[in-house]
Amino acid sequence: MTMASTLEQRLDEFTRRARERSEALAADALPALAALREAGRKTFATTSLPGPKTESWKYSRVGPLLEEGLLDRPQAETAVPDVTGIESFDAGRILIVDGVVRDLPATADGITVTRFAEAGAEAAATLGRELGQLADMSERPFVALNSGLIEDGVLIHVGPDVQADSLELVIAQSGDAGPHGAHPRVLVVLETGASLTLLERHLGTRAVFTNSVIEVRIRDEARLEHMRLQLDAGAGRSLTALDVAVGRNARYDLQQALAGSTFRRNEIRIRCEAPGGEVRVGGATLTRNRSHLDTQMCLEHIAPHCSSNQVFRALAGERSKTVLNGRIHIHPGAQKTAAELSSRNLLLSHDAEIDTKPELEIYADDVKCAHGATVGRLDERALFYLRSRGVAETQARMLLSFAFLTAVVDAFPVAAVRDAVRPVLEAAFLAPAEASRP
Amino acid sequence: MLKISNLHVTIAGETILNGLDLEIAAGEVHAIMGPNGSGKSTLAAVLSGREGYEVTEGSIEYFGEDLTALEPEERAWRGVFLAFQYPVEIPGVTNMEFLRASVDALRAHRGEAATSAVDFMKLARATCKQVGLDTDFLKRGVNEGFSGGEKKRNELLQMLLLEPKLAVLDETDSGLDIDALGVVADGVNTLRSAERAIILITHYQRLLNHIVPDRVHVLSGGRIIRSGGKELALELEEKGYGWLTEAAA
Ligand SMILES: Nc1ncnc2c1ncn2[C@@H]1O[C@H](COP(=O)(O)OP(=O)(O)O)[C@@H](O)[C@H]1O
Ligand SMILES: [Mg+2]
Repeated sequence: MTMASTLEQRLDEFTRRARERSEALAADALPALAALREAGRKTFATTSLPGPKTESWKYSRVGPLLEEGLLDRPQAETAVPDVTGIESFDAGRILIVDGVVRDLPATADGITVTRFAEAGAEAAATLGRELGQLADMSERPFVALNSGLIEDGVLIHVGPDVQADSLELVIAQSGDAGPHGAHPRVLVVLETGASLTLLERHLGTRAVFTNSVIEVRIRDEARLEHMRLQLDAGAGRSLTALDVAVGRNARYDLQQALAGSTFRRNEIRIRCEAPGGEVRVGGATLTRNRSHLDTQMCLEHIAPHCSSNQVFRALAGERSKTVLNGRIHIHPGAQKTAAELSSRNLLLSHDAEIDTKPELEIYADDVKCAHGATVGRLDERALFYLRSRGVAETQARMLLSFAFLTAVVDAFPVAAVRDAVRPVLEAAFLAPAEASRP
Repeated sequence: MLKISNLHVTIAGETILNGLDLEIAAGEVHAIMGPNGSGKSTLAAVLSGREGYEVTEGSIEYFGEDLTALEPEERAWRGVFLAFQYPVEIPGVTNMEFLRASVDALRAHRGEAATSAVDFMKLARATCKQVGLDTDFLKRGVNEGFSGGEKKRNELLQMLLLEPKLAVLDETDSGLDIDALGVVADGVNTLRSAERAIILITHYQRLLNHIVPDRVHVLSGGRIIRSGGKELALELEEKGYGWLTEAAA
């Protein structure tokens, strides 16, 4: 690629190379993988990559994803990085490094955690039924790209009425990999009445492209506690699609603590497909320096008598940018829906940017829907009050900022995780600003 | 301890303090009285280092140091304390967390170790009792949803925990019932010592029945127009400010 290439040329080049890489994949995959790959390749070829005019990409430019080498395959054998977890959070670990499944926990009764490539008959049947069903590819070229390049992935399957032990899903980069694109794929299926606590951690600060797709099926009466930590700032280019279907009287709880990086975008779609579903989402975010964090939330209320409650709190410092698009779509017939979304944001510097947009589409008349978004700054009076009591300015700013995040951090359902998140965020808050380039 | 000379202060270009002189020695309690809008809170704000107040002329010396050159927290580290006329609510920061951060910050600057959680809890509870606040207030957000009187008691609680060298109380007695007034007076009298100076800004002479001041000053139009002993407060109670402000005009 020459320096003078236009965005259009770079998009074309990216598309061409993606096709080449997809076509070069071994043909001996499981039928489910082969089918998904085929569909992904086709969709990718006919979907244009988001340009400046694509509404849902208004605040996120694809440029950082198109850089030299970011479509290359990762090296096959790289060192496993240090992924030391959270002390006193005892969980079986699934480790994906540079898109390659490197480690899986021991199996337990009623729970299957397997690589797609090693799926037994039952797991293969589950894959055949579920894989690619939730992660809609239309209008989402990077989901299509992930599908078109699929070689492996992880299936987490919890059988009916099984109360599973906690699992940890670590999506990491190796320390010695050059630029490449990794396309992790995970499918989680909780059968009727099952329950699981899943901690998802993304690690790595290098300039690699991690394009993850996670599909989650929560069947009737099942419950998933899902915690997501993306706390590494740095040069990572991370795009994560999370598509969740919530069954009858099922419960989905997603709590997130997120930092920005050179490019980070999370596309989250949650579908309440049957009555009685309950969804709770939290997001505590901190962006600093020139980092970027884009959350595209979409809550689809399809069935009646479901509830969703979403709380986002964001701090943006220096020249960073935080985007939250909170879409709530209440379909015709989804009567008695109660949907709430609160997005409160603090600008910590004059150059930081926060774009938060409510998007309500309501096609049922008997619903309760509340949506609030605010962007503000720290209360100078409170800051002075603290300082007048001897609390140094930086610490006073931190106290006030974290008072703001507390509601979300406290909502993490596992105390060990909650207690680990706070000091990481505090350290990130207190770290000196990077010298800004002219 | 404190020497204010010819102090001129403007807010947004408007002159509020206009040649104020005031000198306070360690061990003294001074009362500052004066009509609404005369600049009492402005003086308190300038002493504590609030932003937006410009000293255009004159000086404030505190233990020989130029106080105006210091940040608010640096003043607090050196023993300056202001009990706010309108204490700020800070939801999300618990009173306990706030008090401990303050006390430990001051201790650190005196070269003392941070308090242990248990010791601090004991101290905070005991001090709550002293100012008549239920210990539940320690768990609540700073001043969050406190009544006017509770906020004032909370200011007093902070003052007692921080043990300032120079305490400025800005109308801490306003809006208090007799019981609460007694608590404020007891608090101030407890603090009163040979090493400390206290400035009581008040509208009412009733507080001065409980705390006997060494000097009473009348502030009007941004300067001190009259100073005297404790009997001046009684005279003001009787005659109001009119006779003084007219004479000064
Ligand atoms: N932030 C401000 N901006 C402009 N004028 C102010 C501000 N604060 C106080 N003032 C003015 O300064 C004068 C003195 O106010 P203040 O010090 O609060 O008086 P006091 O405490 O004696 O009642 C008043 O005329 C008031 O309107
Ligand atoms: Mg006042």
